[in-house]
Amino acid sequence: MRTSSAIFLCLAPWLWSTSAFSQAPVSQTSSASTPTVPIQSESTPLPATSDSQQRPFTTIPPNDQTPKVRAILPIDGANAFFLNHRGQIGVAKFSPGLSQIGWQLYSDVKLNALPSLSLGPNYSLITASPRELTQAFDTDHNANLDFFQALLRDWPGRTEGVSITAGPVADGYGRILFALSPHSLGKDDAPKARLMAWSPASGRAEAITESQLPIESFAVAPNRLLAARLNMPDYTDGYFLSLTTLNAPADDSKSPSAPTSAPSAPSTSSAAPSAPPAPSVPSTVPSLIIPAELTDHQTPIHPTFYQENGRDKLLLACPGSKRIIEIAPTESGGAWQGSILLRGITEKEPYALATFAPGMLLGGGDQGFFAIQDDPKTYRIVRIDLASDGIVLEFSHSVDRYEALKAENFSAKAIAFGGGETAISVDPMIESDGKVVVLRCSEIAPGQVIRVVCLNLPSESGEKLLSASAFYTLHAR
Amino acid sequence: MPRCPELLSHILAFALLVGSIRTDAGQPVRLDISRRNLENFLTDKEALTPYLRSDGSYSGLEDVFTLGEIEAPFAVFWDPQACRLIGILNLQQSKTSAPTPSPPTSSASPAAPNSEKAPSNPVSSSTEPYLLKAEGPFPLSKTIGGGGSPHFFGFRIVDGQPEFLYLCGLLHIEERLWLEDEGRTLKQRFSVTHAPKGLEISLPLQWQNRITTSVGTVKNGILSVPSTATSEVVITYSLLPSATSQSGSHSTDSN
Repeated sequence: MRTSSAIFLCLAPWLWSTSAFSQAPVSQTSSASTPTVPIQSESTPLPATSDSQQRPFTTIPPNDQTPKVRAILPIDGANAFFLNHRGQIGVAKFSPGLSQIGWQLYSDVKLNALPSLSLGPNYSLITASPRELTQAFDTDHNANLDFFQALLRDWPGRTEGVSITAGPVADGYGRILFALSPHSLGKDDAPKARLMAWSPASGRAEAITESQLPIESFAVAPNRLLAARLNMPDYTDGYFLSLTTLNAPADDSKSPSAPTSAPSAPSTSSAAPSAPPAPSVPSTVPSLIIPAELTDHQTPIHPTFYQENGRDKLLLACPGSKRIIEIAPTESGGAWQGSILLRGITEKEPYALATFAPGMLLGGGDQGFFAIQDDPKTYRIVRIDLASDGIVLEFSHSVDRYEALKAENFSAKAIAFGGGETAISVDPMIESDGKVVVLRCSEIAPGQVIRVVCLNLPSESGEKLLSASAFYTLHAR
Repeated sequence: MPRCPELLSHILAFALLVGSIRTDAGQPVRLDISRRNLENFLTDKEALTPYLRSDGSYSGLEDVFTLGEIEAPFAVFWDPQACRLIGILNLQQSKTSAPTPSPPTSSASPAAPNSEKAPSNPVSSSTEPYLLKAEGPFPLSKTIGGGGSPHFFGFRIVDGQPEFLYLCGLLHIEERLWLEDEGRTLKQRFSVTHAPKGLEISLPLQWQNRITTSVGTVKNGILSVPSTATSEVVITYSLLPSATSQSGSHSTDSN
């Protein structure tokens, strides 16, 4: 027997009522009536609000239908908003083990939404279509979104076809980030894609990164690390990923992640064109190439930061091959580099990923929601690192020591960024637990991708590796 | 007498059918509301102005509101770029010959490209399945205080019906659309504030005989509404030529 459960949804008390537009229509010069609101950072828990006792509880009934999930936005440890394949926003309830208990639509309206959701204050939701940033409210507290405000419909080049390509994502400064397709800011400027930050306080969007390549999807970690998937369809051997540390906002008087509690100035989005980028805007350049051999030549989507064993990792989903790619970014010499591994293969196609709770990863796709767990039974490479004396490989299970000591069972190559590859001669050494193999070699110069293939390396109990390949991009030592 | 029961059952079924139709008459249809990218089907130069690019081409229709219902024979399009009703599509006719909307399931795909096959040289055609295509400038452009380009603010759902909120000059406009009579009648409700001189609303010229209005007078395709009545102006479109509107109290050209 299935159990109904409840979720609470509350409303900003200062939002417009349904009839407010006619009674107090928006003023072009005054900002008092626009329900432009501060943005809740995804990286922090929802603020306790004084009206918490007024929050209506809504029972989410069991639902035999399966939502086709395209984006997931966890609310707390038990509930999540989601976007389905038709652009409808829903809400789902989960058990502690991430089994879905029930779900229902939060809105029947089918938005032309990109596959991303951001949380506004008091459970409002922000979506983006290629032509609009939209915030949706439930103004009458009946667990049904009924007011959709066009937050932003004006940016450089919009009338010439410049569109939003990814987002929205809330950052730790109460801003909404979204990516714009390449555009020029002046006659002599080369077209560049830009990541924009829209601030509810100013109603303006400003460029915070520039890129030669369009951004397909992105995520921002609490430490301001931006992971952006860059679009380069002509390159078929891999998929570009940029890792960039974002600048803190110029007006950093607010502490990061501090929610703004009062209604802010009204959106003057139509009258306030986006500001040109500041001179210090970082460039979003390709940092890593996710090899197509790891994704089975399927495009990785939905970068998601995930903390594991005290380390920030980045996961990407490949719905076409059901593969989950794991990247462990590290900073060295001001550049971001790191390892790229195959983390797992899911049973269902993962179109969406979200860190539901610490250590708990939730996937979504055409077959609904599913927990993505690191199966302890899977024998795989869990770490590749560079040490002073060689390449460190760590495995989930102890390796077959006899095979692991054979140098011919490993193929290591250094592939230069500018082209060309060099074979690396290695001398394997097994650490005492049998899970770590160090491939001793001469020092590897920066500016290369290290590719290691374990040609014949079963586990101690004879299991075959999930993927024999592991990659490490080295920019600096 | 042996055939009586059969005959009676037919009469009963017919009566029930008529009854159900009569019951549904005037009732709003539960709308499916979606926002989609469409090919630009407009052909009138003035109506195409909001889509004009610097290179002379026209952009596609993006994030357009598509209103319909499975059983309804028509779909209605409202565009937030132009802030106006831009089209009514006869779905039966469109099955055979229509320029089609983008597939709805593509809406949530990453970076979905827009369908941008706007006509570079607008040409009108009588064979198209569109019952109505927007023509002329913004409908309230003749209203005093309504100059300039409209600016879309957002929309809300009122009793399942979309109400679009936008600004034009000094005017604050709420425009609600819904279908009645099993989708055979379209209702368009305007509620406008900051219009001290009343409203001048341009009506589709070719619809003069199929439109009724709740207030005001119509002359030369312009609905004039006094300032005292701008809070609610309902325009009724009879989508089927044979259907006669019963709800409007003022027919077009009635003056």
